[in-house]
Amino acid sequence: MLWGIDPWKELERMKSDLDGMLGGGTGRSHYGAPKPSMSFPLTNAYENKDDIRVVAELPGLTSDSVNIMFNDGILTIAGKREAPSEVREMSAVRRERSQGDFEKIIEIPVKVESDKISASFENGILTVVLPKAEEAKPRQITIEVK
Amino acid sequence: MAEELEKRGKQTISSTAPESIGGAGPAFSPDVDIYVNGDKLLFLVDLPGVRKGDVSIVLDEQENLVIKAPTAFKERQGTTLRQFRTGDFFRAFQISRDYDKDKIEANLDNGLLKIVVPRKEESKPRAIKINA
Repeated sequence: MLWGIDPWKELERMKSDLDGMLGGGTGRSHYGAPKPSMSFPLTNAYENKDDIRVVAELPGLTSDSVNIMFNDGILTIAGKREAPSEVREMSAVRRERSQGDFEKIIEIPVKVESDKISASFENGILTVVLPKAEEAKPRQITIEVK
Repeated sequence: MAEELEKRGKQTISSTAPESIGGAGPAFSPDVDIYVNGDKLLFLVDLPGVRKGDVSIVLDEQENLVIKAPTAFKERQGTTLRQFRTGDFFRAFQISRDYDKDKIEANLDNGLLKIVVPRKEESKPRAIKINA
């Protein structure tokens, strides 16, 4: 990172502090462990020299039921996860899955080419690829040794 | 109806412990909703990253419903934010004798697994006529 504070790490730290206060943890629970509290959808982000990839777990959703917006360095993934129609006449005996409206806001601390952002959906996992702007890419500078 | 096996103590699940999936990485417990009516039990299981055909649903020797699913999601380098980890999914439930375990149907769509366990005909609720 170019600057002293990694904003993502900082956000993560704040989030985990908050989760700690609320009695949750981070990430998905291991088998048998208590369920952590974290806002739906659980999201990872990866960075390489060319792009940033934001990956969100959205099981049961399709590309037309999710809205992806990018504005001023903020990526928003929003939508609604509803119970399938067949459960309307049924009683719930266990409810662990998140339901209803969701909105996930992710700060992208690197300049990206906003018109080249692409997204894909596979097996309930959304991947948003944000190509870095040329000026944000690392450059190799060769120093001539005299 | 459906009782979760992990609540019955470690001994019960030892034969189907997460490690037996394949040993690669930790096993995760997927989020599950269970619905019921007079005809059936319906399980909704979140399995993000799992491909159709990769899910294994078996009835073990005690007739427990055991769900195992390896993830197809490939972890990448350069993580800057991590809220989920990837690995195989595992969950097991004990289902009451009122349900017909030979007629279980399941399908996976967009990472959401639906399992329907029909109620046995003789166990279905009946309206009892009251003679005047």
